[in-house]
Amino acid sequence: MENFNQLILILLFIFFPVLSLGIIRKVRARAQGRKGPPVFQNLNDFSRLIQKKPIDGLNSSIYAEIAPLIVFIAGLVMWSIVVYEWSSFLLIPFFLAIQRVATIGFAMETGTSFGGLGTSREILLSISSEPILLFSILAAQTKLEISFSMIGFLLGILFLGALFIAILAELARPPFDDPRTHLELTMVHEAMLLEASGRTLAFFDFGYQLKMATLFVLLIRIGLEHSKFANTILPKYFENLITVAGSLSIAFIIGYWESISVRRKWSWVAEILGMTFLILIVLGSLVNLK
Amino acid sequence: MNLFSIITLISIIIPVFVGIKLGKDFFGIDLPIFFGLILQTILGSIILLYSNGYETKEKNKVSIGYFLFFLGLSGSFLSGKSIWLCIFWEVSSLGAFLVYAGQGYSPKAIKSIVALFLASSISMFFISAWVFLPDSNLSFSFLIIGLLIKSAFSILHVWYPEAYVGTPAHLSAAFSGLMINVPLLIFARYCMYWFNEINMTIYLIPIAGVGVFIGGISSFFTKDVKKSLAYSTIENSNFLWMFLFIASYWIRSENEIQKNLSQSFYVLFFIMLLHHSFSKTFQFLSLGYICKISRSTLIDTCTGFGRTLNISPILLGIGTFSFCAIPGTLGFVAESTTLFLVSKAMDLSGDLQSLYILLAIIFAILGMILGSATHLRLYLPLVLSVPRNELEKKITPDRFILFSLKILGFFIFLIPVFLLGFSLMIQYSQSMNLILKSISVGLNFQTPPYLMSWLNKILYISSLSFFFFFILYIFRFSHKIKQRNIWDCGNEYRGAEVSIPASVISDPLYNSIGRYFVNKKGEPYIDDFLKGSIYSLLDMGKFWIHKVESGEISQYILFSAVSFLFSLFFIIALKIYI
Repeated sequence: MENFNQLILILLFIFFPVLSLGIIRKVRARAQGRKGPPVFQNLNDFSRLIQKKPIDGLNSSIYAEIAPLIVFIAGLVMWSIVVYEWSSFLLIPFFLAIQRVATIGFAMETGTSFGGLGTSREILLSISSEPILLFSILAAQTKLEISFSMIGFLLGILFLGALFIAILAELARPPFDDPRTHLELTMVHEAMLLEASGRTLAFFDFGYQLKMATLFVLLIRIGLEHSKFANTILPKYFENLITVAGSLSIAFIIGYWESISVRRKWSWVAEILGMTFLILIVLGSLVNLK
Repeated sequence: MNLFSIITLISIIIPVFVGIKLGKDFFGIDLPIFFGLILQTILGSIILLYSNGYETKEKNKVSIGYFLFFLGLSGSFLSGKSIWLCIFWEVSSLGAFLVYAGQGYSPKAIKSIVALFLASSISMFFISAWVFLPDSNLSFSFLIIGLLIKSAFSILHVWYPEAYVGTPAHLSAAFSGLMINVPLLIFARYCMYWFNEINMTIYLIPIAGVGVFIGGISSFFTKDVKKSLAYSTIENSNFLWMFLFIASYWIRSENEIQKNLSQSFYVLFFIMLLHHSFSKTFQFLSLGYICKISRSTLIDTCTGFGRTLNISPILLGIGTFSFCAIPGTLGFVAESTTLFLVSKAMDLSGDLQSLYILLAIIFAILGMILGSATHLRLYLPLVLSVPRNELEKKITPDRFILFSLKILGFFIFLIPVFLLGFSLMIQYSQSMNLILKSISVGLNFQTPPYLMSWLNKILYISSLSFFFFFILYIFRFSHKIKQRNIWDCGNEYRGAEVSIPASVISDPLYNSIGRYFVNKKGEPYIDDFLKGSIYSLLDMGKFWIHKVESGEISQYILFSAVSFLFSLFFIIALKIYI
C-alpha cells in the first residue's frame, strides 16, 4: 500500500499542475458550447515558449533576469510542500510572498503603464485575501476538529467556502478578475506580465500553474485534516486519493464557474473579502468556544 | 573619518567590557542587557559609518552627539535601578539634539526634538518613581508606564511619528533600531516576573494587538516616508510588547503547555527584536537616503529617485524583502516562527484569557499583513518606478553609505545562516552543548523541543533559499538581457508619464478599509483624538487665567480649594490602591 501511496503522490506531483489549468479551460469551453483547447495545451505552450529567447523591455534590469526563475522555483517548493507534506503548511504564504514580490518587481521595473496597474491590483487582492488564507492555515495547524454532525458539517462547509473565496482572489479568477478576456484593463496577472516573452513568460506561467495547483490541493488537505469521519482514521493512500479527486473537482467547479460568472468592480473586492474574513473569525470563535 | 568619529566608534564597543567589569551576569539574568549592548555595538557602528557619508557639515558635532547618544543608551542598560538610569535616559536625548546639527535646526527638526524631549522627560518622571520607591506593585506600575511611553506603545504613541519628521536618516535609524530596544529590554530584565502581580497583563495584550493594527494601517496610508516607517516601528514595537506580555503572563504557570509557550514567546521576542532592529535600520538608511537626494519626505515626490542612484534595486530592497518575510531573510525566520507559535496559542481554547489572546492575535496578524504591504508600497514607487524627472546622470553615493547598506544587507541574509551554524554546533559539539546547558540553568530557562525543531527546519530553509538567491544573483544563469523591445500596447508612453506613485497602491483600499481608521492624509483618527485631548488639557490653563484675570480674592481661593481637593483625592486613591 505504501508503494501505491507513493505512486499516487508522484502522479499528482507531475500531472496535476498542468492538468488543473487544462481542465478549467476545457470545462469552461464546453459549458459555453465550444470544443476548447486540449487538456495538455498549456504543456505545449510551455515547451514552445521555453525554447524562445526572451526580449526584454527598455527599462528592464535585474528583476527581468532573476524573477522568472524565482517564481518558478518558489512555486515548485510550495507545490512539493502540499503534495508530500514535508513541512508545515504555514510556509506556503511565505513562498506565495516570494512569487508576488518577484512578479510585481518585474512589472514595476519594466516601467509600463500596465505594469503599475497590475501591481496595484495584485497588492489590493493580496492584502484582502491574505488574512483569510493565513487564518485558515493557522486553524489547520491547530488541534481543532470539527465533529461528525450536521452542525459540524455546516461549519466545515462554511469554513472551506471562505477559504475557497480567498483562493479565487489569490489566483485572480472570477469574480475578482477575468483572465480569459485578455483585455488589459481587466487583468491582474496578465497585465503585470505584458512585457514578458519567451523563456521568461514560460517560467512565470508555469509558476502560476504551480501556485494554482498548490492552493487547490491545500483546500482539500485542510478540509481532510480537520474532519472526523465517524471516528475512523483513513489510510494514507485513501486520503491522497480523496485529495486527488477533490482537487480535480475544484478545477471542474472553477471551470464551470468561470463560464457563468463575470468580473465585479474593484471597490467590491475588498468589501467581500473583508466580510469573508469576519465570517471566518466568527466561525473560528464558535469552534474554539465549543 | 575624523578623530571624533573614531573615538565614538571605539566607545560603542566599550560598554560590553564595562558590563563585565561591573559584574553583570551576561549569560544569566542580564542576558537581555547583553543582547541590547551587542545590537548597539553592531548597528551603532554601521549607523556611525553611514552618518559619515551622509553628513557634509558639522561632522564633529554629529560625532559628539552620537557619542552622547550611545553613552546614554548603554548607560541606561547598565545602570539598573539607580539614579544613573534617569541621568543616562536624558543624556541619550541630549546626544540626539546634537546629531541634528548636521542638517541644521529647521522648524521640522525642532518639532521632532520637542516631541522626543517631551516623551523622554515624561517617561523619565515615571521611571524616577520606580528608582526611588521600594520594589512593590506600585513602583513596577510606574516603571511599566515609563517604558511603554518611551517605546511608543499603543495609545501612548502619539509623540513617536512627530519625532521622525525632521530627523536625518541615520538618526531615525538609531531611534528605531536601537532606542526603542532599551525600554523593551529593561522590561525583559527587571519586570518579567513582577508583571503578573500587577494584574495588567490581560488588558495590555489586546491593547498591544490593537497597536499593531493601528501601526500597520497608518503606515500603509501615510503619505510621508519617515512617518510611514515610524508607524511601522510602532507596529513592530507593539508586536514585541505582545510577545513579552504573553511570555510573562504564563511565566509562573504550573501547566507545562503554558510554561512552554511562555518560554517560546520569550525566544520569539529576541528573534523578532533582531529582525526589527536590522531590517528597520536598513529601511531608514536606504529610503532615508532617497529622501535626502529628492529633498523631500513625501512619498509621491520621491517617486523613482531610487533609479537615479548607482545602487542595485536588489540591494535597496533587502529591508523590504525582510519585512515581506521572503525566505532567506531574517524576517522570514521571525514571522514564520510567529505564525507557528500563534497556532500553538490558538490551541489553548476555552477560557476567557485565551479569547483575549485570540483577539490580540487577530488584530496583530492584520497589522502584520498591512505592515509588509507598507514596505512594498514604499519600495516599488521609490526604487523601481520610472522617475518623474529624469536626472542627467546617475548619482553615486558616498562609499560609507554603500558600505553600510551592503553590510546591513549581508547581516539580514546571513544571521539565519549564522544561527543555523550555531544550532549545528550545539547538536554536534559536546562542549558547546554543555556551555548552553549551563546558561539555561543560569537563566532558569529551557527552550521547548518543538520550538527548537521548528527553528532548525526554518533555518535550513532560510539558508538554502539565501544560497539559491545568491547564486542566481551572481551568475544569472537563467537569463541575461541581450535584446530589448517593448510590447506594451500603451502606445508610446514613456518616462514621467508612466511614473507610478504610491497612491496607486494605497488609494484603492482607502474607501473600503482606510477611511474607517485614518484621515485623507493617512493619519489615524485615534492620533487626532489624542492630540486634540492633549491640546484641550493644556488649554485649561487659559481657562483658569481667564477666570482669575479679574483679580478677585474669592476666585483665587476657589482655585486653591479645587487644587487642594484634587490633590487630596489623588493621595486617598493612591493609599487605597497601595
